[in-house]
Amino acid sequence: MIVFMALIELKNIKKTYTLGETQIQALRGINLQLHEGEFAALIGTSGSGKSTLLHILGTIDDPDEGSFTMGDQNVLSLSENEKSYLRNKKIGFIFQSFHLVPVLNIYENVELPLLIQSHLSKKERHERILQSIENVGLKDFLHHPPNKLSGGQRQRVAIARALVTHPSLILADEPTANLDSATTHKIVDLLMELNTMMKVTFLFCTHDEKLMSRVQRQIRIQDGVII
Amino acid sequence: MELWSLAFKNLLRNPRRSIVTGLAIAIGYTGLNVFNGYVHQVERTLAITSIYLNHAGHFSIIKKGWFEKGLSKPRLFSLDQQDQTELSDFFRPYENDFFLKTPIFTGIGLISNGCRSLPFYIKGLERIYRTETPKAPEFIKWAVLEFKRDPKETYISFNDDDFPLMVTYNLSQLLNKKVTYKNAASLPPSRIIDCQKESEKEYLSKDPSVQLLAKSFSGGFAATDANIVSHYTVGFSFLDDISIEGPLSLTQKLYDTQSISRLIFFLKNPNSINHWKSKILPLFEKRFPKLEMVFFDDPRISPFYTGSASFLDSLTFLFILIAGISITLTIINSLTISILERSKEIGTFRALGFTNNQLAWLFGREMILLTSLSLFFGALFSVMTAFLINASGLEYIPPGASGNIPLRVSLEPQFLFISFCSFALLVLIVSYFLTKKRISVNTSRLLADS
Repeated sequence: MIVFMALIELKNIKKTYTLGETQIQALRGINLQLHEGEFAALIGTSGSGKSTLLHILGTIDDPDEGSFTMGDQNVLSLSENEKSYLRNKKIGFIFQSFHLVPVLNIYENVELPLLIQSHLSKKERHERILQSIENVGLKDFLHHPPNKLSGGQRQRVAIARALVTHPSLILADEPTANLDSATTHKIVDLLMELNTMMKVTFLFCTHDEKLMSRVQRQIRIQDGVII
Repeated sequence: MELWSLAFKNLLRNPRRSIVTGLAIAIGYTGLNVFNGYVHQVERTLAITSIYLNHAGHFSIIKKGWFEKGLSKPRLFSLDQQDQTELSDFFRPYENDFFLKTPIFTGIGLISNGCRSLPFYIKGLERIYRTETPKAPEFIKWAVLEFKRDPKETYISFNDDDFPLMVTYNLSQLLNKKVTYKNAASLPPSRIIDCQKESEKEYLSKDPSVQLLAKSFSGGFAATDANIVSHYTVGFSFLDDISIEGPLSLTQKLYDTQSISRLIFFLKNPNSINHWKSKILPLFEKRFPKLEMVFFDDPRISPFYTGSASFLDSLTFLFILIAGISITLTIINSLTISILERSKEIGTFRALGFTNNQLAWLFGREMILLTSLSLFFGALFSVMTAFLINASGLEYIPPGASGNIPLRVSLEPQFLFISFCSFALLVLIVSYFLTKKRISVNTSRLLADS
């Protein structure tokens, strides 16, 4: 029996937002483990707390309570700069609306996270970018601006950008929400292929029931609690 | 791609805004440079007028108290022959530093055309002063054209027997002396004239001779005939009514003395004046406790220059302040809009691992590029504007001046460079701190921002 190590462990994570005079309990004590190489979906309706959880996992938001470890690192004790460093090295993001920089071409968009990795040589950087773009099947579009690509192609660019730093964890926030059904399946196929090929842990949140059958693990969240 | 390249591409995101922001900076910078160029030209012209035309020299030596009592008690406050010998000995080691070293005698008295007597203020100078000073490089560079052309004739080509005298235009008019010694067709025979008769005015206007009356050093009154050999201007209206200039030897003869009022020094390298102030002045003060070394920027010897220069400096400072504030506000405005528009992108950058510092420098780079390009074009505009102004031949009368002077702009490369760097630095600091403040919000909020 293969025992996967826990890449991420959340214990009793709570998060409350204040909206005007109203307190909204987005997360009410989340306990979660994600293992290396896992391909998981965070499923929940709108307002269930899945985006908040994803943001906390991506270290771009802090919980009010609880503990969060990544490997043997206590993430919540890190400074803002250390968290940035962690994100750059170990976490990749894929957003629903792609978040590509419109003035940069495909190659440059993928290159973005590597711009701050000063230890990489130019050659190494170039090779990584080309490899990432090739992995998502956009080798022929290197110098195209994002607005010349279809939605599916843009999301592939976002995937390439997330993978170019060789992260341990990829977080995708409803990556197929803006795509049609055929493209959605292609993107999921691609993510699964990359998961197998690169042994990267994938967690994407969705409320698209069609996708659920395709993932190894479904994590259901409702009213800020994993059920 | 490097971060500078990314910054440049971000500037092209909204070209119209970048161009308008850049133009605002370029125009402000052009205005500042042209204004400073004008101030620089005026300051230099005033300095050269003081140094060369009003005989302040780069520095001069006087007896202490000369400014207060030199004209009323000239004998006590002049440099006698012993002083002059000791001064020659002291300055001998520095002879190679001087473009010219020359004595000057100044005095007061009455000048008369036979009918009318007016007070005069005479400067007696060695002929070499008139032959050499127009050759001084800074005089050639900065003196306005009229001062270089005028006077067309000086006393240098006349014998002492003629007592050649230069009289200012205004004083000549007051004395009704329209012709000069050389231009008088035939000198009218000397005769007694009836000053009450209107017809005698023409006779007076054709006669270039005048009479000088002064109190000599020996205590009595001395008078002499003199001939107006040219008309000239000293550049300042308040001196143009009373000033005359003649050869030193004749002036000393009129006052019956070998003393001089001041010893004037013109430096070969005008920039060495600070060296003289810091190094030579203390030695001089130790050696000559009763004498004083007065530099041209001393308000006692160049009141018009120092007063105007400090006024112009204040204006320049104010202008720099206004330009600095305008550029800062322009940058703040442009940067704020840019940050607000790109908050989602900032969130993405943060999610990709950019720290706040790195993002602040990225925006800083954008603003530095925009400002540098704008300032570069501003410098080009400045050169073009200065060229157009100088080529236009416009003239104006500055306050206190005795005539028109051309409107000229002399751009200072040093000022262009320093202000360029200062504004670039200012923009970098402003954009860094503004960006840092603006982006210091939760990343998930930035990403959610629509």
